Amino acid sequence: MTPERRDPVAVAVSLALLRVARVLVPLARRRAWSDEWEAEIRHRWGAAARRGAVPLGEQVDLVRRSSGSFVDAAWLRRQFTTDAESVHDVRDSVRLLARHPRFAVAAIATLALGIGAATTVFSVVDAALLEPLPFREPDRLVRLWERRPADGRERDQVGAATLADWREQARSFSGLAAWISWDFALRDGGEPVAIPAARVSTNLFSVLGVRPALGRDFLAEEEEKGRERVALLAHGLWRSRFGGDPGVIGRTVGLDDESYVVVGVMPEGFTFPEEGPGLWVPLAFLPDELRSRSQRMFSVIGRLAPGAGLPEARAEMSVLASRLAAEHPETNRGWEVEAAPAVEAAREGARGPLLSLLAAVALVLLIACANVSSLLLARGAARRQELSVRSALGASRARLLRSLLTEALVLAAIGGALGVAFAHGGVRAARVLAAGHLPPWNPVEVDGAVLAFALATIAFVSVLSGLAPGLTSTAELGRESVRAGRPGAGGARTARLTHGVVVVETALCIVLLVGAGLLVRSLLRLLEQDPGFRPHGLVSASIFLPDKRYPEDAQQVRFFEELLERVRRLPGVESVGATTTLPMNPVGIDHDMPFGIEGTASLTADPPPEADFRIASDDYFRTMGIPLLAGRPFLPTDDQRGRRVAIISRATAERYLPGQDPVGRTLYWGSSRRNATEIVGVVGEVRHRGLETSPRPEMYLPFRQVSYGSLVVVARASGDAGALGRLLAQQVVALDPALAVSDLSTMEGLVSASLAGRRLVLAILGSFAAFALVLAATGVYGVVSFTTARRTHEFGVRVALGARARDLERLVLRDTIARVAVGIALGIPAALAAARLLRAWLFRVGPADPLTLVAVVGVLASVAVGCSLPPARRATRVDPAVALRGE
Amino acid sequence: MNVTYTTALVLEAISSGYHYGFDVMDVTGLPSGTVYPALRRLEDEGLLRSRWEKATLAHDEGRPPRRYYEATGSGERWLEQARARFRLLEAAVPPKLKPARAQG
Repeated sequence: MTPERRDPVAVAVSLALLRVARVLVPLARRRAWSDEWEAEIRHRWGAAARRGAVPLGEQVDLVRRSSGSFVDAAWLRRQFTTDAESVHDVRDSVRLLARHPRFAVAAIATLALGIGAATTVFSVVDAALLEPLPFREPDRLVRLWERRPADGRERDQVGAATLADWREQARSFSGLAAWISWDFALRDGGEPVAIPAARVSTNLFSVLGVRPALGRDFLAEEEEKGRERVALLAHGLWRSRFGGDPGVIGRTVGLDDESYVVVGVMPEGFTFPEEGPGLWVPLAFLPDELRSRSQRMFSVIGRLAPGAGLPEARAEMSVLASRLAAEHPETNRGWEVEAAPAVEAAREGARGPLLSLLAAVALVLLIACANVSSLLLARGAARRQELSVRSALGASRARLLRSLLTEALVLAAIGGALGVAFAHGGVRAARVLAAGHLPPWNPVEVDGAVLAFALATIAFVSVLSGLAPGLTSTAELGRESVRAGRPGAGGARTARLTHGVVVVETALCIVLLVGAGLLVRSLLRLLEQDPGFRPHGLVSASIFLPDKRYPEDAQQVRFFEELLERVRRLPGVESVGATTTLPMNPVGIDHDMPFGIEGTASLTADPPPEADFRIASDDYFRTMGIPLLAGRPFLPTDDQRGRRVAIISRATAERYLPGQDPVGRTLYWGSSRRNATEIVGVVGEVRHRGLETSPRPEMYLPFRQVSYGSLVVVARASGDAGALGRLLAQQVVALDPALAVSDLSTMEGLVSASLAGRRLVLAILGSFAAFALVLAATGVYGVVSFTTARRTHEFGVRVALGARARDLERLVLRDTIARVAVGIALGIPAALAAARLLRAWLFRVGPADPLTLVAVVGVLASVAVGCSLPPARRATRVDPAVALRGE
Repeated sequence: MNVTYTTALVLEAISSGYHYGFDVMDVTGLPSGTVYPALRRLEDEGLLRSRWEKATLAHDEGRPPRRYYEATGSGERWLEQARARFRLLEAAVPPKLKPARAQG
């Protein structure tokens, strides 16, 4: 405003009015508002003055109009206030919470833990199941397997010769690539280190659509034997072993006994097939690999050709498989092709457990909401006087509801902010815990999607926990029953809702407790399982003899003979053995061998029966504690000059030679079943692929007769198994410094690792269940305290009429037990339905395991009673005189 | 928004070429305490838009620039409906013959 001294009276008065009215206008609009008014006033005066002296009537009119600016300013103020009410509500809520810190802390902590847990679980779900795989058009990638449904073999790997036919003939794929995980002893100066690696088709990275960050991709011709001495490094290995030096390209590194030229470095974060490979080398098939169809050991991925879809690819592969079955009946009869989207295959293992955990955390969050709801309800009752006054002064029910919801929103926002902070820690823990259990391609982190989830959760939580108490408190205003009276009480609706909270919490809690209980029972059952050997005190290490260094079978046998002898002489070693693959070990050679036993139908059966085929040293069974049930173990005389011998497991004997003595019978093995072998012994069966699997038919051959360049040495220690491991590795290096030992582990570690995924799910679900129980306990405590407090008057009357403390106590307990019973009745069917989701994780325990149900109900009921006792006791100490005076 | 006769009258005036608050009062006879809130509401609803007169013009007269209102497309459509409802609306505002500035 630009007041001037020469202003005529009418203008001066008008501007003065304006200056007063201006105060009402919201700050943001004040300047524009007064400019607009002043411009009109001055313009009007100027126009009139130019016509001559301004008549008095016009001057009065100008002042009158200016006084209208008050109406205008007030209108703007009112508009603004309506918008600003929410700001006001927030300020009010914060002030209220600060005045009731115990309530605020309880509610915020509950929500922070609930939202934090939910956000953490979601960040894992997001990384593992929702974010796209970091490959080009990941939806066009397809995993391929061989399968023979006739004997329940789904998703076997692929034989090399079959793979070669696929790559040559399949038209629905623009590229098919294979890989096999491989350990190399990396030598670059110092001691050799075992590096997990992968031999991959040279087109693997172009099929995936990933290019090296440095250097070049493999060339197609590097798949030819003799040209494959090139390597691509993983970013991590490049940083850790080569100091991130770009000059590494072109350098030579020693892998096993060969020299490889580094041609490139893959981008940071890239890993395939899963977490771990430090480097990749071309998969150039060894001649015997390329001839083989029955050694199904290569994993295959393909990219659909432009225009081709999965159904076409499946149809084509199925035709191809029947053709191969006809051409190579001895190895391929009955074998089909299984194809599935690679994305699905990658996520399959994680989906079930993660969705169960997401469901579990949702339940925890619901219980947290129920708790906060009951806290808000109690607060609503305590605020009744304030709300009544506001209502009497004209605040509408919607307006009051909005203030109450704002309170819930403020709680949820503060809790949510803390929860996101928790989630940052939770995510770090999840990365450590879940390593190796999740698809490794996307990092678990609190990113935009996770924050959006947290925000949505906050909104959901504030409505869910605030709406019911808000509606209840406002509905009871102005009712006769609640006219200004005892503070802290509430009407019948409040009472119903608090009881509802107990019912809901009990029901939700049961679902979680039953889930956790079933998993605990399954784990206990599993630990009771006899693995078929004695894991305690066993230590093992994998040794791989490179072909170039040990070209002759005899050399390989001699190496292992010497190594076993050296280890046997070590102090603290009871016995030592070797085999191709240990039970519970994810690494090792493990394949099926067709066989037939003379004089039984198995010899002519088509397709032939198959047994897990393993090589074993003389002392392997004694070392492992696998009982010899008949015949003899392998002996040093079972060598190239001796008669071919085999030992079979009891399961094999019982299935193929029921009621007969297997010792002395002749067994034929191999795809043409020509290798005649005498069965010299029967050993106990082993749960080779995990405690939850049933033993499969097994047959063992002596390591001196069938030589393998890669064996696992296992020793039984009389003392510390861990210390023995280092000694064992030293013996290998002492024999041949070019070798590296990998997978050094204790057998107990392997058994435990085979249960790690299950333990992890149990630990997480268990902590959710424990958290839920604590929430439910505090919830029940809170509700009982609140309801007994509002019944003080009634209790006073009862005492005055002669009721004893014990009667009141029983009264309170009976009420709680009734609500809990309703909760249990509702919760059990829900728990039974939810337990079905866990079916894959249950072991020898039904989803409706009665023991679990009884235990859970017992725990919940006693916790509920335990939590309502203290408030009940307090209620019984009521002094009737005091209680009635409160009227 | 509510179709009241007063609001419709204010918009009719703007649409007929009376672009300033005081001019609208002149032609409609409504008091400032009615016209201004109506203008604010119409602008909030997007039936009107406003801009400021050129600063040079205002400077010559030694006053702040005036606020100039005009009906938007949806304002004109809304007005059509209002005219159907209030038959005499158009007649209530005499058509403006000369642009406002020409008078000054």
